[in-house]
Amino acid sequence: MVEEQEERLLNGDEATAWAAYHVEPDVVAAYPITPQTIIVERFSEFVADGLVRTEFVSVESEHSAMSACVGAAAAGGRAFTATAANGLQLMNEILYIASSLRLPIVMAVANRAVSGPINIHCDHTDAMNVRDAGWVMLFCEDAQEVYDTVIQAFKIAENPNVLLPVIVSFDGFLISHTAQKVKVFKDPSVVREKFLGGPRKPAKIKLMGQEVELSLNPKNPVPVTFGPLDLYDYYFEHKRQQSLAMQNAYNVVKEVHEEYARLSGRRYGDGVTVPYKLDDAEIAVVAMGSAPGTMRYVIDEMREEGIKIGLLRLRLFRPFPYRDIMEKLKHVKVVGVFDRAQDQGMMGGPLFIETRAALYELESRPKVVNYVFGLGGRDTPPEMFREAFDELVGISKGTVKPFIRKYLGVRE
Amino acid sequence: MYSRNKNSGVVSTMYYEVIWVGRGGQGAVTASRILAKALNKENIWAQAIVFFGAERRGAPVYAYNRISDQAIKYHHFVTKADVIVIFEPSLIGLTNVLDRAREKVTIILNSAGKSIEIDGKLKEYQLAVVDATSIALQLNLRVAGIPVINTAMVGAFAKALGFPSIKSIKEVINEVWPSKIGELNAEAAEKAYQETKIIKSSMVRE
Repeated sequence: MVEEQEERLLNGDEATAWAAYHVEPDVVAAYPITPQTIIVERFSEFVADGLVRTEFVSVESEHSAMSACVGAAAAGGRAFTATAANGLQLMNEILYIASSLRLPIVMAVANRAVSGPINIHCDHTDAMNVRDAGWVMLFCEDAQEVYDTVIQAFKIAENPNVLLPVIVSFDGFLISHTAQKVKVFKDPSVVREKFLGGPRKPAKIKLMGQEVELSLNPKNPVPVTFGPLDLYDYYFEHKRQQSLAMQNAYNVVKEVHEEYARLSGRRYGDGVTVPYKLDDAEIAVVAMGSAPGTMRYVIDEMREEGIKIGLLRLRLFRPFPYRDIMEKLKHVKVVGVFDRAQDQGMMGGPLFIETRAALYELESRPKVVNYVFGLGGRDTPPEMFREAFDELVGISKGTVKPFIRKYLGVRE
Repeated sequence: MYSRNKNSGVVSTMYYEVIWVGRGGQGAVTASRILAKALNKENIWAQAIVFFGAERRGAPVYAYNRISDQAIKYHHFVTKADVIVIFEPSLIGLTNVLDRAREKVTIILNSAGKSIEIDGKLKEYQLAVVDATSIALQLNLRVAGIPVINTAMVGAFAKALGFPSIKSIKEVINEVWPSKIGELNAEAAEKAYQETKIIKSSMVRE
């Protein structure tokens, strides 16, 4: 049954703060950085107004913010933080520790270019720099999806078959600072009690013949340690387990998305990918974040002209949904992958490289080309996408020579 | 009603893009949000958009709206506008905002009634003028000494465009500031709504 909701005018940051309010984490530790700052500003107001009983920890850096979340989550708490760009880079060391300790922390990232030169606007380079840190990563298209996904992230993270931290990404300014109508649950207990089942319940493990809580709980009959030295005797096994947990996350993302949809009435594809007009497409576009919103208008326009073009938006980036990509793009002739991230010294942007690798498995492979676009907040108008999509049509007809990578919307 | 050109893909009976230009501290960003909230009350979809760079008090600051009868999924810059709201005449010469006007544009200007020379720049336009500064001073609406004109400019928008209703705007203002401040700001919007004059209407807006 769909639960009662109310409409609010919220930007992506405020939608995140509302999601956190409705989840009511035990601990929020954060350091402000544009374009994320509104998240922790609003959340600290919810704390000050007594709407949540969260312990709000103001720290002196993002490294400490993530460290405080590690402590809180290791103690069995539900922990949340938010950051962007350079703040995320400063956290990097602790990101790997959080995932290897199997701590279900949730973090919102308002995607922003990484300095230098210093820039506060959107691209995905910040998130891409931490793509191997062992976090589940989801990318949202608008503020409504941000609210929904932040709530889902806690349930994904805390699933006993996953126990991994989750990043929820959304485009800086384009989503973080753009207000739109967002539906939020009228009663926070729908989120806290009905969906999440009350406070976090740490997983149970067998230790020295006894069942103990996987947390730093002094009531445990046998003490549990987090983060001891782990050398050539066990480190590899622990990494292998982490890898399995990441594989498990794939199905859990889908299940949690579906369970949430029953409460909210909203779905984003199957929670992993969001296809648009792909079934009979000869040309496919692959992208993440807010750009697919604008791209769909261009696709509609080209469809009216009889051009068979479609879009595959990835909502889940880690674990990388390579089977979905193979399945959904196996019938197309040309694939254009749009990376809003730096590609320094690489064959192309990160999304391109992984998409192309996934498609290599197919018996009959489409042409796959890469566009790097929108760095540092460079505008992404429909006309720009149209130009690129026309080029993809040209490749399918043999009138345009295929290439590996191009830069879209840059002065050369 | 305005229908966006086919190049942009929207087929809609109603589609507007709005640029607000004020000086840092005058509340252009808040104005765009109040407008969006009031529109939402009337089941009209709106985005309220802000991009920060090196904004500071006194320097030109922009805010934007996209308005439609359908959900808007565009996520890129508002480059051209159907409506331009200017918080004081000096911003016309200081910025290139009028270069961003669509062919048929409504300009809403806070001015004490001085004549404004913009004929050369624009083909077809509707000019709506309101003395929002005097309204703010009459109501003693100031923040850090600066007259608060943003709520009055939202009232002027309603008069110039014919939507949303001034009732919805006042409701939103009172929700945002549930106090005496809200009442005064709602009064400023109402006064501006009453006093806004369409002094030039060389265009035909269907």
